Amino acid sequence: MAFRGVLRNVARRLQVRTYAADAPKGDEMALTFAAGNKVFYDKQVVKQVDVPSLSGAFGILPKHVPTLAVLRPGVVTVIENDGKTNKIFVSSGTVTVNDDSSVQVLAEEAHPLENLDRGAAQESLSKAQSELNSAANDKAKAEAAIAVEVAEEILKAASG
Amino acid sequence: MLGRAAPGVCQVVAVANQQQNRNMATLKAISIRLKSVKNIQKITQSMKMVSAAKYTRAERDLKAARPYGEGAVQFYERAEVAAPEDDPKQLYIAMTSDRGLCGAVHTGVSKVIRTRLQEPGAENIKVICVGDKSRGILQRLYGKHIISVCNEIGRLPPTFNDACKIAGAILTSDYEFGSGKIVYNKFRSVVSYQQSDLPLFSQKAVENAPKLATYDSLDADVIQSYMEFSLASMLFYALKEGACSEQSSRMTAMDNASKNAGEMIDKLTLTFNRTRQAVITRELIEIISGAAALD
Amino acid sequence: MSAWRQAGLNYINYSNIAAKMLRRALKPELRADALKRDESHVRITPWLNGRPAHLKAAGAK
Repeated sequence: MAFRGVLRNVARRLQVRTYAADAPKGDEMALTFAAGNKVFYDKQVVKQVDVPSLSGAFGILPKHVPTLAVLRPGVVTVIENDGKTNKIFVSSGTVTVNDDSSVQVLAEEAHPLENLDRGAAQESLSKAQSELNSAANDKAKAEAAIAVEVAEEILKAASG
Repeated sequence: MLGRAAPGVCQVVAVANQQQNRNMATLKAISIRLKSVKNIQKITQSMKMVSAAKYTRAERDLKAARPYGEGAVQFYERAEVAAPEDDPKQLYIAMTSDRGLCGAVHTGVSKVIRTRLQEPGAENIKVICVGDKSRGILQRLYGKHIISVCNEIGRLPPTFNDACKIAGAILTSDYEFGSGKIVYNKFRSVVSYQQSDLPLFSQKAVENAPKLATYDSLDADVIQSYMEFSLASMLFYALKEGACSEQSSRMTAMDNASKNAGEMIDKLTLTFNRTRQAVITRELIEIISGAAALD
Repeated sequence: MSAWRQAGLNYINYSNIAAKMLRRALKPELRADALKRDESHVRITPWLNGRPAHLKAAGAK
């Protein structure tokens, strides 16, 4: 019993230690990247994040000046600390860079590139295009235009 | 359900004790009562099983939604956005659901809002009730404050689209608030949750935030879009927290109800047996004394 | 100002369309699960003076 208690204590201490190693230091950037369907990163330290925003794509490195942006459909590239790059397609959402160098990317829907299906994207693009052509009013036209834009981006990402 | 059944049972027991001479009738009454309590226990037990399954799913969902919600409020905290002093108009959103039998989750949220509405300045507060339960609690006395009611919540796990619809309703309502709060139940563990709130601000409040100047390349358009989406994110998160608290609380409530029903069944069975014994004894006495009279 | 905002849409509408399109472009085995997120059952009723607004309108007739 006592032996088990000791083991547990050691385990707890080890756990604390790993947490501490993960916590961001002054010149590190903690990324939270979550979508309605999945959490990709939760306060994990990464090297760089590239995001597509409505006012143009931009890269975020540690100590980036604080900013806000809204996402446009496209690929978010995350370069992890060990140099591994992770490409994730996001539909839309927000990006926040705070003054403590923490970054929050919140998307409505996000999927790794390998989950995209080229054929399905092509199909939904043609459907969206025909909807755009037959749109009766401004609102329907704007909606169809967004759909076309998204489908084109998905197709581009899925082919690339 | 059980609370309502209890006084009846007590009466039956009392009657059984007082009127020993009418044992036959009470025997029947007790067995009917016993049967109904057993049925109730079956119902609460299966409701507990159902909510246990729903709770497991809700908790898994919540784990995924937590970073989302924390991320959404980060900016408002970091930029030190404050409620504008010159705009007293406030919007409170009560996150509950349509379904009851889950302890005090809904009353807790409604009480927070009711308390606020009793304080001075309440005339500047409007309320949006998400879920029929908070509407039911607030409508009688504070109906004039309600500007929107959302229902069909709680039957299925909340989706991001649900949150978007509610956010859309807030954005398109012509009520222009300076600040506000989303009041919801924050899930802590299977046995505990706590009323908590998320901040809401007008675009003007954000633009006047003291630390906004440190943020780069912002224009009104970006802030507007950003705030629209973050409203939906916060509602999504609050819906998930609420759903998880509700299911866990229902699980506990139904577990307690089943336990209470079990106790009641024990007591009733005891009374039933005692009464039956009394009936038999009485009949024996009647037979024996009848036989003795013949001798 | 973007075209969609001029047409009376907000970013939530924009986001909904984008997410919907993305869900439809997933690999078939992932799509079924993702399409569940398209659903929404919430019903919203505007209220006025302590009662649903449409009831009041109906009563006025």
